[in-house]
Amino acid sequence: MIPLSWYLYVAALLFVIGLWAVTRRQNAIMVLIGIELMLNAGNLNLVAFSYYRGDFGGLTLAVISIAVAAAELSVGLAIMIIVFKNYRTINTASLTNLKG
Amino acid sequence: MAGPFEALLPYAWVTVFLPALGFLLVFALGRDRKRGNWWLDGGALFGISTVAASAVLSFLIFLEVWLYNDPYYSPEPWVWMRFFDATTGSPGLYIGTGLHIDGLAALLMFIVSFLSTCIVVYSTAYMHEEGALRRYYFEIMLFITGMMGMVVVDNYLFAFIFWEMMGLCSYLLIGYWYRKPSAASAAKKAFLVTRAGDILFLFGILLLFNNFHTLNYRELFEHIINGFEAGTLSKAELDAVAWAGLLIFGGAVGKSAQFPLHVWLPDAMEGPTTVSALIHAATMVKAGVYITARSLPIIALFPSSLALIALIGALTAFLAATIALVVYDIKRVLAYSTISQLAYMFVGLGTLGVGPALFHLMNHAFFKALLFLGSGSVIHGAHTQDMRQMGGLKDKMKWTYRTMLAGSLSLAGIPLVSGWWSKDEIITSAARFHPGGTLTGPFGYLAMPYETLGWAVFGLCLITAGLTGFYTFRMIFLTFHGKPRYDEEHIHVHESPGPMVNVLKVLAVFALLSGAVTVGISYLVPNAFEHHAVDELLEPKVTEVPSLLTWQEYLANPVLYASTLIALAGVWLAWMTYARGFVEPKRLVGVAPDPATPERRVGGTAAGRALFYMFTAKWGMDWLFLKIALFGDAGLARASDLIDRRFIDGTTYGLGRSAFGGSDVLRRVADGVVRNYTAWIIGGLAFGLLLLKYVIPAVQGGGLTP
Repeated sequence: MIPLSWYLYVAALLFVIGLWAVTRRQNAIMVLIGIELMLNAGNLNLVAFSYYRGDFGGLTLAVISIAVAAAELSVGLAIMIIVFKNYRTINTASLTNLKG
Repeated sequence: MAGPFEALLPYAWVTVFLPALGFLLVFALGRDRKRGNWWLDGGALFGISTVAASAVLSFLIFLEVWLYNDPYYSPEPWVWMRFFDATTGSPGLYIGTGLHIDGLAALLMFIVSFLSTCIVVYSTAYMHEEGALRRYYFEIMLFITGMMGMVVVDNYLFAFIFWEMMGLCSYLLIGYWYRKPSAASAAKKAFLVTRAGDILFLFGILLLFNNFHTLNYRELFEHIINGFEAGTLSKAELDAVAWAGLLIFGGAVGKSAQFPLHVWLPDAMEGPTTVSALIHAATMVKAGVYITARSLPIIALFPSSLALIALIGALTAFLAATIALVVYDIKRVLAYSTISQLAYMFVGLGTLGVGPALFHLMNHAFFKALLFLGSGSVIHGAHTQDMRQMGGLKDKMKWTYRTMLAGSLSLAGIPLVSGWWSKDEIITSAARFHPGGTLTGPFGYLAMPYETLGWAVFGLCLITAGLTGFYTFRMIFLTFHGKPRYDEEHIHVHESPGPMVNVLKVLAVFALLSGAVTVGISYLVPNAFEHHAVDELLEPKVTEVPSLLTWQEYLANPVLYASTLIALAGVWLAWMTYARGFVEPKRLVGVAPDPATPERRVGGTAAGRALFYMFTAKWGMDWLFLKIALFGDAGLARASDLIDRRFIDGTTYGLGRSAFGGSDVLRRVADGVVRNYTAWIIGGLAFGLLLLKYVIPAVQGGGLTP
């Protein structure tokens, strides 16, 4: 068995990449991809712990998490479409109505 | 031994409450112009009746205490607030007062109430043309309450309370015509200057209380004197007593207008003449003498303090007399004369001639009140206060002239008239005061032998006696003799109405005879005055310096002749100058081309002009105070302003500005780009986690744990 910490490192790496994508990409679709990456990194953590502890709780939570991710992603896409309809852009940097 | 009025003694407080009742009645029921009747306007009758009743009671108490040697000290004080001592459970400290009616108190009760009655009666006529009479009468009533209260209480706290009450009434009454700028300014000056003295007084009281935890005269003095003689007082306590004595005298310096706090009294003449008579001649200014006399048992433990008091007295007497030589306002002559005579009383107290000092207090109260009221009559008749515009009034105002002459004889110290007896005794006391050694104590740096000081005090008193004779009769001659210097056609001079002249007559009798009567009684009952007037704790010291002299000693006393001669010389000089015109003042001091600035003169001798200028400028005191005020007060004001605007306002505005600036910087976070918001949030979260994991355990336990 490879050490648990390897799985955790990979998950952390994925999480950071996803975080980077959320904060630094201008394209809204890339933001959503980043969110997905973060969620999956968390899932990977759950599965890894579950395997090394012999506990099925982690697996269960991971499945629920996948379902939630899917639902939330579709909501995000829907919001994006409406934003596009109203502002004709999905560039996050140019959506500044909250300024001030 | 008990007299017939013994039962009245515990009710001495009634003499204080009666004027207070008069105050309330006048305040509530007085009307400015009830019927145009002098007795009813302004509620005068309430005032007169209550004060007269108080005077009768005071007189009976005075007789009881003096004729039967029966002082009264309240066994149980009236307590207003009590502070229990929780640890020991004892009654502890209290705020309250009892009565302390000894000879000194009884004497003052009598003088104050009697003169107040006279003056209130006089006021009915003098003030009848004024508006706001009700205010005048109730302010007078409040004042009388204050003075009567001060002399009957048995501790310093209540004495101070009544002292302040009098200061307030002085302010109110001097500023009676408050719309007149000079009057308002004079009232303010009086209050502020006496306030300076009051602060010294308060410090003295606090020192005493801090060290001895009581302010009751008997307890305090007995404790201190017994401790002093047994040597059980600590150094700190001895210092406290020495300084406290001088500080209490400092309060007296303010209230009784001694150098350097004398400057308010001449300006206080802006008030009505009756106010000047009551407050600034007969009563309030005596309060300083009273409290010094009251405190003398503890002041006398330190001869240097006594020497200082005598020195200040002598200097003030001389200073004020020189200024009185050159002023033209009749009231101001009397004001400076008052300062000078009060100084004599302090010389008496300082040289342990307590009997003479209080004897002079009594005489002076009578004749000065008489002189002031007489001047009021003159002002009423001649419609001016400036003596240069009077002259030849003696035929037109006969009784005013005669009574003022009586008062002046007394003031100048003409033989056999009352002022002569007391003034000479004070000067004798000054001549005898040189117990040897040098000055030590808080003012040890003066390092002057007593001998020199004694001669200085004596010399100044003697010279002042001459000056007194001169300025007094200068006043008389300028006012009443010679040719009229006013416009006879347009100004009709007439004698004053009944209430005024009758009061003058009554007071003249007292002024002339008070001295002789007292000395006569002393002849029959040796040392009667001194025995009653002087506090029993002080007597052992006082009898070392014999004060009230017997007939034999009187006639053998060279000082007597010296001072009488000098006084008579002063009177004669005034006669030659102003009545006979033999010596013309302008040959010595020149004339003033512009009467409005009498200090600028031409002609005469240089020395004469110089002296005249110095006296008219009041020895530079006004200039000095102005400089102090401008430098000290204005400087302080400017510094305070600077601190307030730069530092305090700067800090508060600075905080505000930094808030604005900081928010300007922070505002840039909210740029509207949600992506950045997310970044901030995640960043903050990461930071918080790091903090939690690494920093906080390190702070708590020390050492990093990965």
